[in-house]
Formats: sequence, C-alpha cells, structure tokens
Amino acid sequence: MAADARGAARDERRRKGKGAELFDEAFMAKLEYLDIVAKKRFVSQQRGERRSKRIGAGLEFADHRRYSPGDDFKNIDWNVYARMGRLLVRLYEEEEDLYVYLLVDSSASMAVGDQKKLDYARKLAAALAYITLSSLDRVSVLPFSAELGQQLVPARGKAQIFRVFDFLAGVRPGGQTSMADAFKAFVHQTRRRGLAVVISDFYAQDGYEDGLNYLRYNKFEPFVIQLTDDRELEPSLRGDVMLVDCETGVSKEMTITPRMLAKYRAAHAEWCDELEAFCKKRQVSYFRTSVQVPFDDLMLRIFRAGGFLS
Amino acid sequence: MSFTGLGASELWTIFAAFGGGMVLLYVLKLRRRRVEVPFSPLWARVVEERQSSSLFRRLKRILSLLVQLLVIGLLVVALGDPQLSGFAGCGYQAPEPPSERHTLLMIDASASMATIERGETRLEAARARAHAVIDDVTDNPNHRVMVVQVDATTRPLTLWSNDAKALHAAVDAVAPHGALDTPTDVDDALRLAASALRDREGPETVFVTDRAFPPVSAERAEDVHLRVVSVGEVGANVGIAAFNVRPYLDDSLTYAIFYKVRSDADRPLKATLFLYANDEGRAVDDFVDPSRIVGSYALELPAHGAVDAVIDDVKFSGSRLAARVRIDPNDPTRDVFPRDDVAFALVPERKILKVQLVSDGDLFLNAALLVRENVDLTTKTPAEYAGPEGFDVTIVAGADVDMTRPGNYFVVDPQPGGPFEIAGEVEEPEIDRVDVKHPIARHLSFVDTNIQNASKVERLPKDEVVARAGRVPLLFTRTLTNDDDGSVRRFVVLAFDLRQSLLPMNYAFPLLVVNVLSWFHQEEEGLLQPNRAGVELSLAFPLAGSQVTVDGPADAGDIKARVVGGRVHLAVDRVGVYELTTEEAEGANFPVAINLMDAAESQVSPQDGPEYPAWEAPPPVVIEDDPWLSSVWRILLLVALGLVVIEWATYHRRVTV
Repeated sequence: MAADARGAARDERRRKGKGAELFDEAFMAKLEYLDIVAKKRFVSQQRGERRSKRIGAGLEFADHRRYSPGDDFKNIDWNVYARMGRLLVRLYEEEEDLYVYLLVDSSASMAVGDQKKLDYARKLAAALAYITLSSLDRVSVLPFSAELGQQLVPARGKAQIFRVFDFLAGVRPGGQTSMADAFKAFVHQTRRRGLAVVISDFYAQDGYEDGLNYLRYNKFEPFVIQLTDDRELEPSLRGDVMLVDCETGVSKEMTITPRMLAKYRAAHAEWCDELEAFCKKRQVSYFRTSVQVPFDDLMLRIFRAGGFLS
Repeated sequence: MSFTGLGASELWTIFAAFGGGMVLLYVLKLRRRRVEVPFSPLWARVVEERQSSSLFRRLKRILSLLVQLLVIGLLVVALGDPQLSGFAGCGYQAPEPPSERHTLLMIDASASMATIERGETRLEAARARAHAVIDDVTDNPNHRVMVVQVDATTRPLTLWSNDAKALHAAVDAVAPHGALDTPTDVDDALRLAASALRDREGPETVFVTDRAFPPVSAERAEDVHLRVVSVGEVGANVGIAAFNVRPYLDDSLTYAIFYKVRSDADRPLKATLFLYANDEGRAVDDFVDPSRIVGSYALELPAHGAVDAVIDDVKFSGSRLAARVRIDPNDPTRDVFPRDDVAFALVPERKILKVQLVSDGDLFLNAALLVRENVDLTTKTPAEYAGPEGFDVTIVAGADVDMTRPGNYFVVDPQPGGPFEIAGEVEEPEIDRVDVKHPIARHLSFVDTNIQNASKVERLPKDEVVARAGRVPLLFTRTLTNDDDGSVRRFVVLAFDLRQSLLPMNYAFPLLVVNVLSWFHQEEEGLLQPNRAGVELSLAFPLAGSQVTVDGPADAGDIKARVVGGRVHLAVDRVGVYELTTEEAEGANFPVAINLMDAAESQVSPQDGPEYPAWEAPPPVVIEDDPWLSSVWRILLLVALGLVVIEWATYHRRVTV
C-alpha cells in the first residue's frame, strides 16, 4: 500500500510538477514511516477508543464491557453469560468520521527571510493530513492570516493526499495575522466540529487568546503547534538599525547592543511561555518546535505525547 | 612645551580640518540599515525598557564624538613632536650625537676608467669602492655625503645626504652606459670640492679614481682634504695620440696622413695601424669592417715610447677616415684600454680652381695648368681679358692688362705700366736666396734656372720675397688693400719671362705653379682638425640656420648645439663623427670628428707622481636605539591607539558605522 502510494505520488509529481521540491521522495518516505509508527501506536492502545471511532449503534462488533444499570438488554451477550456467568454488554463501532482541520498560518511573518517557517508548516500539515487520511478520517486545510483563506474541502481517503499537497503548495504568504478574525470566520462557516490543528508562529498583532477561545467555545478541539526559528531568537543585528515589522510595516529606529539582544531573547521566551501557559490552563494540546528541528521528529514527539487521533 | 616637528599654526590647521570633518560626520544623520523583523511587538517590549536610558544614549553618542576628537587631538600633537621640560623622554638622557662630517665622494668616469682589468672596467670597480665608502660612513647619521661624477665636466649627482639608499642609487647612476670618452678635468672637480666643502664640519674629498689626470699640488689637495681610493693596476696600452689627413693639391684621390701611436708597454711591441673609410660612418663599428680597409701599416712600437709618420700614398674616395691600432695577435701583450685605439679624421672637400691665363700664348704655363685635375683653365689673349671676376686666380703672362680690380693675380714677366714699378732690367740674374719656409717655396729648388733677363721690380715694404738675386726680387708676393672699400688684391710676381729661362724645363716648375695656386687658395684653412671629446667646441659653422640637429654615434645620447655669431658650440662625451645640420641647409651637413687623444687618459698604468693620502674609513658609530617611550609623541600615539581600541570595543559603532 505504501509502495503504491509512493509510486502514485511520483507519478503525480511528474504530472503536475507543483510542489515537487517541497514534497519530494524523501518527504514521502518519511510520511510512510510516520504512518507505520502511528498505526503501531494506535494498535497498541485500546481498540475502539480512537476519537474517530465512536462506540455506539454500529453494526461491527467492537468490544465488551460490564453491564451497567440502564443498558439496553438487547446488547447483553447472553453467550458469555452462559459460559462465564458474567453480564457483559456488546459494544459496536459507530462509523462516524473525525474531521481534522489544519489551520495553517500564511501571514507574512511566516515567510520572513527564506520562508522556512511556512515551508515547515506546509510539511507538517501534509504529514498530519497523511496520517489523518490514512486513518480514514477527513482532513481539511485552511490557510489563514488576517482572514480565512480558500480552504481545502474536507477530503477522505489516502489518495486525497495529492490534493492536499497541491493545495499546500499553492499557499502564498502575506498579510497580517489576526487569529480572532480568522477563527471566528472558521467556526461560523464550519458545521462539523472536530480537531482544529493550529500551525502558526503566533505572531499576531491582536493576540492569540481570542482566536483559540473561539475554537474552544464552539466545540472544536484546538491543537496548537507553535513554530519558531532559531535565527529569530539569535538575530545577527548590531548597531544602529531601523526595524520594520514585516506584517504591519511599522518601523522603529533602534540601536542594537548585545545587552538588548539578551533582553529580546528573554522577552521572546517569556512570550512563548505565556502561550504555553495559556494552552495548558485550558487543556489545549501545545507543541513548540523550531523549524531547525526535522518535522518528523516533531511528529514522533506528537505521537508520543498523544492527543492527536488518539 | 615646545614643538620640534610641525609648528603650532600647522597643528591647529590640521586639527581644525580633521576635527571639523569628524563633527560634520556626527552631525549628519545616520542612514540606518533597514532590517525586517517578523514581530515588532517583541522589540517594543525591549524598547520600552530602554526609553529611560535614551538620555544616556545621546550622551554616549556625544561621548563617542569627544573621544574621536581627543584621538585626533593626540595625533595632531604627536605630529608636532612635543618636547616637555621636566619630561625628557621619561627620564631618558640621549647620548651626545656623533660629530658632523661631510664627504664629497667623487667618482672618476673619464675615458681611462674604461680600462678592463680582471674582467671588469675600472669604472665598475670604482662603483664598488664607492658603495663601500657609503656603507662605512652612513652609520653615522650626521655624516653627510655628496656623490659627484668627474670627467671632462663635474656633475653633482646628489645633495648632501645621509640616505644610504639614495647615495647608492646615485653611485649606480654614474656614467650608466660606461665610462665616457673624455679626459678628467681635475681642476674643475677640485674647484667644486672647495666650494661644496666650504664652511662644512668635518670636510673631506674622497676621489675614487685611477689617477689618470695631471698631478695635483699638495697644497691644493690639502685644501679640499683630498683622499684617494685608487683603482687600476699596471697594464699595457697602445693608443693613437695623433691622426690627421690632408689631400694633395694635385691629386684629389691621394692623401697625406699624419699619425702618432704611443705605447706604455714595458717592452717593444709590434702593431698594425688600419685605416678605414666610410662616408656614412659615425661610430667605430661603422668603420671597422674588412671591406672598408683602405690601408694597413706595420708599426714597431718602442717600450714607453711613440712612433709618428706621414703616409703620403693613401688612395681612397670619401670624406671620413678612421684609424685603428691593434697589437700583433701573436704578441701576448693585451691592450687593456681599447678606447684610444681608434681615431677619426675628416678629409676636407676638394675644390676645383677656376683659373684664367692671359697671355699671347704661353705654352709652358698652359701645359702646367692643363694637367691639373683640380684646375678649370680658361685661356685668353690680352684683348679678350675682361677682368678677374669669376676666377679664383688670374695668371697674366707678359701682358699689360688692367689689374686694379680685386682678385688674385699671378703675374709672370710684369710689363711696364702695370701695377708694378719697374726700375730696369737685370742681366742673367742668379737666385742666391730662397725663403724655404714660404709656402710658395715648398719642395722647390731653384738651381739651373739660367735666367737670361729679368725685370727689376721695385719692392714695397710689405712684400714677401720668396726668391731673389742679390737685392733684386725675382719671386715675391704682394697684398694690396684698398682703403676706401677694403677690397684686396693679391699678387705673386715672377719677374722674368719663362721663355728666357730654363725654369719651365726644371721639375720645380709645375710645383711652383701648384704652390702659387695653393697660396692663393690658402688650402691649409680647409684642413679639418679632429676635436677632443669632453671639450666645449666652438667651430665655424658654414650652414645657414640656427636650429642645429646633431646626429652622432648611437651611444652619444641627445646632443645640444647652439649657433652664435656664425659659430656652433657643442660638447660631446663620446668619440665618433657627428653630423650637424639645420632645416635651412637643405640636406647639407657639417661633419665634426671627435677623438679622445689625451695623453693622461691613455696613461692607464699608475703614474709616478705625488702620492695622495689614501682614504681610511672612520671608526664605526654605534647608535643605540632610544627607548621606545622616550619620545612624547610615541606616548601620545599609544594613548590615541588605546582610546581607539577601547572605543571600538565598547561602542556598537564598530558594526554599522
């Protein structure tokens, strides 16, 4: 299956040639590896407790559990009772799809310098989409900046991964970050609730709190991945410079000294800690990674921590 | 505090210029580098903390300016080399400076320095000695040297200097193309030495020479503190001491050559004198070619002696000759000084004399004149005679014609009524006295003339009698000048009829005719004397125009010549034949032959004569370096450097400014 997908991916890239550099052979190999790792991990956990598989009125037997008062008698497994003398209730899988919304920050701050953060976000989104599609769930990709961009309608099935690739490859950076406006629009136009993975540097002029709260209050389950760039933390700036905000264009004359740089690093760390604290306080899954870390390492970290598709 | 470097006004000017520039740079608004950041609010957090320190930032900026101004000030003061009383170089007391000395280093570049010994010329050896002298004296910073080249002229090549590099370069520049072909004018050199050393501390004249110059008196040598660094060894030299050529009047292709060849070898030598002819030749190489040889003559040269002779049978066509003497190849003696082996000579241009013979038909004179190649003869009867105009010489034989107009007259058998007063006749006169030194009597012998009858012409006081019989002049010259217009008539008078004597039968007759014509023509003036190299020449210049172009041998360089009052003035350093011409000359040129021919220069072996004191190197001067911090300016420089380093290390400007 994986080999077929890889071959198909190769053909697809040859055919379209779009995003070929971003989603190359090595990337596909990593996806297949992550898919295998993800499946092993899911299998080792309780079967039937994956978020995407609700236990309910399905036809396919899923498991037993003890009888509790109030359970429907028709679900009692009388064969087991006859053999073991214990009342167990049959459980059936409810075939309800899980919707995973990948909210990818495409603001200008993601493309500062060599666009490494945006590329990283694209790869990360593609990997998460691949895992999701491999689990037969539905995935949708929504780039955002000050407003919600054109979205990839929820897709299902592994073969849809190429649509995801094409869509991600077509994402262009620009605009300010306004999570409140973008996520407000998202919750209003999205009927099916699900997992909302926010991939962003969270450099939002108006803050991130309102945006994440919009998701929470509207029954979405936020999953925060914060991207940082080590070069932003250690800027090679010295002397008299004019700092220009890449999103707002606001400029500020400054004289950069090593002492000021140390303060900047401290401010940045404090700001990241504030975001992490905000997420933890609200039981929102939070991951922070540098774009210098390979994205597959981040994926493994996510798998180990749980919370995604588990 | 006093300044020993730049003056206070100069220091203020420099400080104002650089300090003003520095302030201007600080006043100008700095164009900041634009840097794009992803999230400015983070920087805003930092800036908020720093707002309170903006005053300090401005102060820091002013402080930086003040530091820069201080650095400039320190550097400017250092330029003044300040001396602080009570701060004598951090307590360092400098030792007494070595005494001042002045050495006039003269290097002989005359012709004799071209003598080759041990594979190098004496000039090259002299340069090496001069370099050694400079090395020996320049360790004393107060020992100044002036390098002077000495040949026919004296040329200072440097000012007084202690710069060893410049002095060595000047020594290398002494006659860079080899020794000149000129004598040593030691008088001129000593005059310059006396002038240059006057009122100088520790004067001395060091002359690096082979001593091939006239002796210098001990008093004069002592006046300039002359010290000699001798170069040169004993060696054999053969050279041409004299070389002249003149043509015979009656043979335009035949020349008489006078030469003198001297040898200072210790034993007799066999040598050969070669003669070369080349009308286009200028340098030695233009002549010395086997195809151009017009004669060769074996010579037997005595030890330390000379031979001279006249060669009277050389035939060649052309106007330029070169002589070269070579020691017999079989003789082991080597000629160490080849420069004087060659001499040049110019042959004067031959002239065709226009002569008219006025007679009733004097066949003797007619025959004697017709055989002369250089005579253009016109015969006329007395009736046809129209005057002397158009002729170089008018011969009047037994005719009474008008001889009152200016001209040259050869009067044979003068007639009464002419310009001569005839007092009577003399029967059978016998020539008893002949002025053999007179040009007309050259090579003549008046024997067996058997004169039957001669006119007794009255003498005038200024007449020059060549031959006489008793008191009667038979052959004499007379020159008459018209006081009114300055015109001249010259007469040679033969006071008897040729047909009444045996003189036409005598071998002396044609010679007499030639001598008379030569006397009129004054041919000696046409003999071109060779000139000497290195001497200021002043020659009668026959060409029109004043802008003279001189072409000579390739190594002669650019020669300047100037025409003043019909004479051309020039001086050259190389032997050869030089062609002088002007634009107005229309292709004609005036050749000048230049030879060495200097007995002193040819005397290449050390001569017996006054012994000049030898030069001795002064004791070496050891000067210890001052402690580095003994100079205030060095301390100031160090402080300025420290300030720059501190400012650079502590202020951000090192990155963006």
